[in-house]
Amino acid sequence: MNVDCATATSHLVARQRGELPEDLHQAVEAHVAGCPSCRAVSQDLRLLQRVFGASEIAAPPRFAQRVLQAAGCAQSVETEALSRDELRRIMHDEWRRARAFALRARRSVRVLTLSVAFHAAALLLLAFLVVYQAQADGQRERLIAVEVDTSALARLDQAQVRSPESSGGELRIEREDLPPLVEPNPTDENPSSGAQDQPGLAGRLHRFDGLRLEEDPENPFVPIPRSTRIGQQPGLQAARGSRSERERILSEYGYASVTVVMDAIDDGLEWLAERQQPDGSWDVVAEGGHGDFTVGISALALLAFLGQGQCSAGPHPYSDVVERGVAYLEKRQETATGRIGAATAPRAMYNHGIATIALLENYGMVSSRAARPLPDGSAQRQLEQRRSCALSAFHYLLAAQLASDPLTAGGWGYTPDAWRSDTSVSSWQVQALFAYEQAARSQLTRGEHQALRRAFQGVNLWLTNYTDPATGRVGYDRRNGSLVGYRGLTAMGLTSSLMAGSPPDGALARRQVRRILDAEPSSDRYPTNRIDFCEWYYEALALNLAGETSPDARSWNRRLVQILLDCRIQQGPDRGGWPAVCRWGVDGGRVYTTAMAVLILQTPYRFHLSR
Amino acid sequence: MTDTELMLRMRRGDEQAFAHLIGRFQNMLINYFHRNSFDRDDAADQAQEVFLKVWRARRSYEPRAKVSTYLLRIARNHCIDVVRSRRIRPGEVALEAASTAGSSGERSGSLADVLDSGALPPDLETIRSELRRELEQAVEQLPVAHREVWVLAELKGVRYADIAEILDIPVGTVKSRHHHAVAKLREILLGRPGMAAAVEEM
Repeated sequence: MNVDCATATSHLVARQRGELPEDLHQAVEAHVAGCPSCRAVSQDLRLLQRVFGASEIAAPPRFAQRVLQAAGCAQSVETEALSRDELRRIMHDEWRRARAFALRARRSVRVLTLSVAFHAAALLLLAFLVVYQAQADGQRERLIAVEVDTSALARLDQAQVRSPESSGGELRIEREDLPPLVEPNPTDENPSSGAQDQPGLAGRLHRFDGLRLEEDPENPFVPIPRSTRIGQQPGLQAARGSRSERERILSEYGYASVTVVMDAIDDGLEWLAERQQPDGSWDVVAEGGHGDFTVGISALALLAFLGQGQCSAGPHPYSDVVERGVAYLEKRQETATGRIGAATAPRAMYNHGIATIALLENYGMVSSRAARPLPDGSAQRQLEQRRSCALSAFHYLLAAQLASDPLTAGGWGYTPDAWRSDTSVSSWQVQALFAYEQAARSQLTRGEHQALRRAFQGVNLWLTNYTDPATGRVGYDRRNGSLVGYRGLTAMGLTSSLMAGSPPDGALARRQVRRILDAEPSSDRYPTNRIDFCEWYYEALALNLAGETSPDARSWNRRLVQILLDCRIQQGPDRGGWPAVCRWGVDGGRVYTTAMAVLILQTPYRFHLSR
Repeated sequence: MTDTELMLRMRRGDEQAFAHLIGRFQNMLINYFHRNSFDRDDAADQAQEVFLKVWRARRSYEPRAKVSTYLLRIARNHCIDVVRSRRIRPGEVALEAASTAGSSGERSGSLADVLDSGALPPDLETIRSELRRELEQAVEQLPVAHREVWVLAELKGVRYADIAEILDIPVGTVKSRHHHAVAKLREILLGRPGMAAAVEEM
């Protein structure tokens, strides 16, 4: 049987209901398969069905009891929620599924053994190839970008790391070496009393001297114009501090419903505040994450509060949350080195880097509030402690910047002695450099200024080595290295280079912005674990730091915000938080996703750079 | 236990059977009235009335048709009675509600306008309630005969043959009325730019 288009169309509604006789049904199917206009109609019918479905309502609670009462029946009789037969059938299905799974598993053990053996062999071969390839790449890239003055590196090593015998292999920094951040009371001391004369620091300052970044004509990263920008920022609290200011900045971003966004942020913070432990940390494990990252995730949660202008010494609604959180991080700090979190934790620099950002941001806000003389000495002492903890954490971070291998120099690895740096770890550390700059405001001593300048110079070196100038793509552990499909890497690179002072209108930055905008945030991946809050965090942040206000960027941002609003937990005790659906959800759990989501929503005012 | 068995038990005065019957058909009846422009509470009240009628008339039940068909026939008669007694056409209740809702909604414009403006799309719940409102208004525009078929056809488990029995019209007529109703709703609801995308969002 053949049907023409008009006939087919007239049957489409019945077809969708499955109410066509068999032969007619097949004829219509055959026609639709080859007819774009009928397919379009079918598609519309499907959409309409959704609208109809959405307009369905449910009976009010206790409706049956109401009717029974009105009918004069005994209300104790029960309505059937699930008949016994149905229940039995469901149980049976579950049991069958479990049994099938067990059978499959037993069969696959044998297969598994074989496969493990095979993969191990393949892995060995692969590892050999990778090392070989890396060496070949190394030769090439060394020629392109880097000339190393080995004597500078030797000096650096002496200055940085004491001999393993004296410190038990631990990285160690002399307290006396530390340059002041901002003095709690700036009138006390002459800020120009340079720390750069001290030998330990001087060693660090010359870290990247041998790496002649600025003279490389091929280098897409512009020499750092830090001196023109350092101290020019209004400070974090200026933009984060007041609700009306936050509202203004958000509405400049083109969100129609600013209040919806602000409410989502408030709910997220409330969710986090409710889950803070008495000791100031967050129970990452209880929320579905991994205990190794408790320090870093707790710090991340703190960043969300700091992003809202809440600091430990303020009269803010969440000041005591921040106070407890900061105290927790300080308690987890090793006095001798300044490291926060256990040295043995895997990927320890994540914990340390994020914690350092939190301490620095908090100190920056607290100290700007406390510029006036404080009424009582205990507050002064506490402020002094805040400063020294933030500072020693920062110096550990500076010392952990890799410098010995020219291919990875300037970046950070999982630990201070890592054999490679990676873009993901490094980007968090760069944010700590930036937080330091913000916290120090205009009061950097010459020594501090120089230390920061060198560190940023190292960042640019690392980015030079890791970025493909033609495409703007940033690699994970080297240029065009592993994880090539991970879009977040380019955003991490762009965020880092902008924080290090590269101009947002440079050709490479524009290419990277384009790369980000070309892939709109998508919730298609929701609710699978391929959604990536970390990727979104960096993409949103990079666009913001690049000062992107194009219509494309606006729609990109709106899209992302909408996805975040949609995937919030809408009901139950976890309302206001975000589910751990992220790619990194198994590491961070809900504390991580919620903190990240809040940070993403805060992006417009978190770093409101004056330009 | 089948629906008919429940009805037969209920005929003997089994309250438990009646309770189960309510559980099975409450959503169907409430949605039947709701789609006929009764608001949420009103729809539940009318569904209750129908169940009470069934209970009071339980002894006269004869297992001739499907239970759902039997209930919907009673519901339909009840609906006509109520509408007559209120002396308004079906729809005016909702039209009033819609116009009051519309006056607050008009400031922000229709969903299509919001989507066109490129402003931040409202959240999912807002889209849903907007669509619900637009659907209600679209349904008002259908001819009564088409609308009646559409309302029944959208109830779960109700087939064209059942509708034909409820309304006492040939199956072919049911099919063609339903087709016209859906085509009209498609034109009204999806004809505007941006609407399809908004529905796709859901």
